[in-house]
Amino acid sequence: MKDKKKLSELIEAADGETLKHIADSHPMVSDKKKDELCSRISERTHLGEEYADRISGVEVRHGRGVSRYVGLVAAMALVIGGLGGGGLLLKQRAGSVPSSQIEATTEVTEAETETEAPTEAAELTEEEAQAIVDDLFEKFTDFEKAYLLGGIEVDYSAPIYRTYVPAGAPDGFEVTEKFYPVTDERFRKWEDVEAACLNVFTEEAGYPIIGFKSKDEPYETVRGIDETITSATRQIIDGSDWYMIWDMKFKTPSEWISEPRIEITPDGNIEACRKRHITSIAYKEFQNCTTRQEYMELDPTTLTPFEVEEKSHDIEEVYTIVNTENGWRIEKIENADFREQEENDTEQVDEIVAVAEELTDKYLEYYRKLSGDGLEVDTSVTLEESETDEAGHVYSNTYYLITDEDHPSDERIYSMFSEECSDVIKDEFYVADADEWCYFNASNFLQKDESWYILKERYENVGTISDWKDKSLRVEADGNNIKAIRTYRYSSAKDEYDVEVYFTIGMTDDGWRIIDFTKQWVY
Amino acid sequence: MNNKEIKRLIRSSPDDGYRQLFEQYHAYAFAVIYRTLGSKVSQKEAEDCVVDVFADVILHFDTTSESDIQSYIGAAARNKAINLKRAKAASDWYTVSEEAAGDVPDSGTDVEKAAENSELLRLVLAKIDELDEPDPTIIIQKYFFGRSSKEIAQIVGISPAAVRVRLSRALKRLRKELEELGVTL
Repeated sequence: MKDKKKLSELIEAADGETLKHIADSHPMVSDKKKDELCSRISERTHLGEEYADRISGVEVRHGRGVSRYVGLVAAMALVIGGLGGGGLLLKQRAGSVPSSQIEATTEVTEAETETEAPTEAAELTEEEAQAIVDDLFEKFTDFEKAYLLGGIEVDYSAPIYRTYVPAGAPDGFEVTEKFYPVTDERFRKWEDVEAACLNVFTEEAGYPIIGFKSKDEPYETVRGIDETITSATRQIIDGSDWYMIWDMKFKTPSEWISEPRIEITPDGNIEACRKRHITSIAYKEFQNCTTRQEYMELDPTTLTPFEVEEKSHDIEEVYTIVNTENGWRIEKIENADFREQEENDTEQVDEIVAVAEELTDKYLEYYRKLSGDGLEVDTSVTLEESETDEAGHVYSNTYYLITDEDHPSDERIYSMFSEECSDVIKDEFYVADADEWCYFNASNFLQKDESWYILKERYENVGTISDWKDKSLRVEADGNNIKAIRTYRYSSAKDEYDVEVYFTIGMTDDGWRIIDFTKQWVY
Repeated sequence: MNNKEIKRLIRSSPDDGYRQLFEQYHAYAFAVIYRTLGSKVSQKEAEDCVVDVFADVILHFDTTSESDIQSYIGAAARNKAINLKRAKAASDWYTVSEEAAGDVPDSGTDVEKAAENSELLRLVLAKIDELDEPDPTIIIQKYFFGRSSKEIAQIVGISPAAVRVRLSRALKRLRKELEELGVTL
């Protein structure tokens, strides 16, 4: 390595003429490669691209900064968050049946004693969990039919209109909306809706469904957090009266098509998995409508619904039910498919981290041995090797016998590095190929008579390589590869510094292997 | 074919002319790129740089001017390599200082050092040339073109292990001969 460094310094000083001389004296690329490069140049110049500051092949790496590497925990969160989705599945419903088809059977605001929170923490039995789930599903179904799926009775004959200017709208632009007074006895006041919702959901889950009160509007309204949530309708609350905007999204019924599968989680919550069939319904009059404004002018009492078969589907959901101070409530509804994906993602992240840890740990252990640090050697057993080449030059070296079972053999190299990368390692440390060089070589390590030896100079000038620094592992999935960074500290009589090692780990025919690594010295 | 002839050929028959230019200077471009980037550059990245260099020449070099085309290629190669080096540094995969990235030393001491190194390099190259083949090729390919033992093995027709051993021996011999001249490598 010493030679290499010195020679590299000299090469950096090479002037143009020297380089031209070297280039002309030694073959650089094959004719085939030359043809390939010329073809690429031709393509490039005929495409008329701008070259000023562009280097092909660089952009790909440009965004790979360490900033993209995040701590282990954060990385897992990012992967899961990015792929999983999740959240309230209420987003995926499309509407409900008209109110005339709803048969109200439950007073949803009435307190349900059987779901009240227990005063003392007690282990939940399966029977108790079943009772809680049955009760909550019944209330959930009623609430969904009554409110979320548009089952609220309104007086279509007495609409009121409100006009407002959306934030950021151009001059003169305004929106007029039509609201109908709510006449439903179950929800005479807005507070009735809140109470019904919070009788099923936790506050964190419930308010996003029925909407948050907004003070920014010219009249008091509540709205859902997201247009994709079917409950994201708008209401006017005027004292004890309230008005609801009619929205076509409110028109899809659903039906349970399986009994819930119940599981009590280790933290005492309940997970209930259940499948439902969702039927989408469209309205013939809407077929030619293209704007929301046109929807407002239609009379919902005269619309003719028809089923949209292609949009009807089954969906399996996982309901997370938690025990709050108000009793058992639904905290989260997730699509079972998404959830499974999340679990798979988590497993994948775990695997990535495990692979990175294992291989980088092996790397460090191996690198130490290659450096001679911690390598068990019997210095009383020396091997003197010399050879005279055809030109009469004499080469001689002294080696110590390696007694360490984890000596740097070929087998170990190939167990953690790709073949190509193994060659780089061998280059760096002059590790001979055992099958070809069993008698003499000029390497730092050599094998003779089934024993391995280390060059005396190498062994006696070794520094100390620390363990990986705590929490220095940063891992990132990069396409099919894994990127990992870890840091160790090197100490010797003359020097001391940190070394950051940047690993690229890829899947080879032999399994996960380090396919590339670079180092950065940090003084 | 000298540079004037290449320029004339480019003007009369661009395809032939640029191919000739590539034949004559591609290795030089590679050498400049490797000199700038050292072993940190992959073969693929070096090839990408070379493609960019010659595309740059085709698009921007005025063949009717008196400008030296070798200098242009050298500057373009150096700039592409520096850009690549900076891009790598920006991504924190490597670090690079302005001095390391630049070509011309900016202090008197550096100029002296560069001149000294340049002289030393000529001596080393002369000694490398005195070695028996394939050792000179192995050393040049290893240190000037950043080739791995496997790649060099394909060029010189021996096994990668043999390349490593020959390289090691050649360096020892080189060092010994330079020491006799009072040069420590």
